[in-house]
Amino acid sequence: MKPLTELMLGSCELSVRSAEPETALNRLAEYEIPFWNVTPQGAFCVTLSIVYSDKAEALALMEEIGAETVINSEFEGYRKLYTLVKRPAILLSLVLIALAVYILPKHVWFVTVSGNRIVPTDRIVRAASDFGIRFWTDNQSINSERFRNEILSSIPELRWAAVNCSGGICEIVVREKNEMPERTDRRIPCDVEAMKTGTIVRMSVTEGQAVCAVGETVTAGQTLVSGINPYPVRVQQIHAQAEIYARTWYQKRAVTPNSCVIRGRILEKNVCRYIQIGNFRLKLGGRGMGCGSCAEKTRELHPLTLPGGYVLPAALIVETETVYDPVRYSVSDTFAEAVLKAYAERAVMREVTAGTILASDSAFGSDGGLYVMDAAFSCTELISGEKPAAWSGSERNNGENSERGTD
Amino acid sequence: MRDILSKLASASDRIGIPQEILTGLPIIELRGDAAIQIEQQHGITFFSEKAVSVRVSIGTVLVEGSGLNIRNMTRRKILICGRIEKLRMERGAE
Repeated sequence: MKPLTELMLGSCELSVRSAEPETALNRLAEYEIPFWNVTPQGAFCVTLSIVYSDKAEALALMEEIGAETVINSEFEGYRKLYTLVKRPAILLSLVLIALAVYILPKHVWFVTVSGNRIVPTDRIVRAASDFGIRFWTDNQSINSERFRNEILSSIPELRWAAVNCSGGICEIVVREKNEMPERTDRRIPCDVEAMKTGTIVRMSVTEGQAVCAVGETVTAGQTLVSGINPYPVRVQQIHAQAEIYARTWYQKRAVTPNSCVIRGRILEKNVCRYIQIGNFRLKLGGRGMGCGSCAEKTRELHPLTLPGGYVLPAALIVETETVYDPVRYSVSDTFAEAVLKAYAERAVMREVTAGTILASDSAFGSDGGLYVMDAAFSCTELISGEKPAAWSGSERNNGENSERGTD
Repeated sequence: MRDILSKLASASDRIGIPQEILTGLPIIELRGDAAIQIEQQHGITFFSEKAVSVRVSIGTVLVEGSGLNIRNMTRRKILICGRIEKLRMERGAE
């Protein structure tokens, strides 16, 4: 490997052929032209190296003394750097590399979230953006403690949060609150009441005194099992528990139009393409049009994604507008009846608690462009629910005189 | 010539500067058998792989060996490298 000085200054290897090569060497030394690595190549020839900038002067001296000089090789040294000016691609690459090393890692490029299971990632990223953590934010300006205080106040489902910046990646680590399941406190005295009106078909009383029987019709809010046990000495309060099923009835009305407009053949289709960088949108081509009465507009977003799943704030947007030929379609009564019946059944099942539909009866007809169905459903479901124990004045005692109260 | 050199040598002693500066005597530094540096030289008279003859103020320095080459040479200094076997000083009438 060439010495550093030779790399910087450049060098030139010459072959000097003369009757007396020593005269050539003395001449070069006399004119203070430094040379090195002098090697004899026979009786009348020597090879030597000189500084590249002395080449012209050395050749002139050799010519003066009548020596034959051949340039074996030359190296321009620092002059090579001047050629970079003529190659803008290399200069631009060097600038980009310097930029990538010294400037780009000091700003946020990607924001990632970890530790969340219930709270959506988008919500956390939007909240972080509101607090100043977004694309191209300066890493030095991000304060983890201030960010934690702000995001915990905006997202109550979180109990802890922190932000770590490493190069261009900003990672938000969160911990969610653990929601404990609701537990029934059996120390609280309560009664069991009917949540809906119906006829009791089945009872299973675990705690408390039943005040109704199978076959009785009860109304919503009526006490079914009492949590108060009046004893001769004192009144006992307990947490009444029971499962009571009853027959209930529902009536539903469902309607649907007897005709509708559907999409026929495609009349026209236009595609428009954009490039979106941040909030700036640049149209690439295509033409848009106003949506008519039977038209559809779809938007496809193709974000620029790097390996590792990191998404840059740049995307290709393709908007497609399609105009259809509207066709009026008449719904048959058989089809409408089946659809309305299924719809009514689904509506009833959403209201029934741990039950089933036993029977149904429906009336179907049409009225002014509509199909109408009135349906009645008979169901069996769980109607019991807990409520705080009810006190009567005579039953309130401290143990000595007790009078049994009547409801 | 010798009288002049002796007078210059005594003068340099009195002034307190090295003799070789005032008298122009050669300074020969032998580094093992691999290199020899001669300062205050007046040019080479012969150069080959086996022998190099260098003119100095008091005569000629002859270096014999094998694989000899001149590592670098300036107006007053020369460095010869190779396998040095003999070193001889021949006094001349200069």
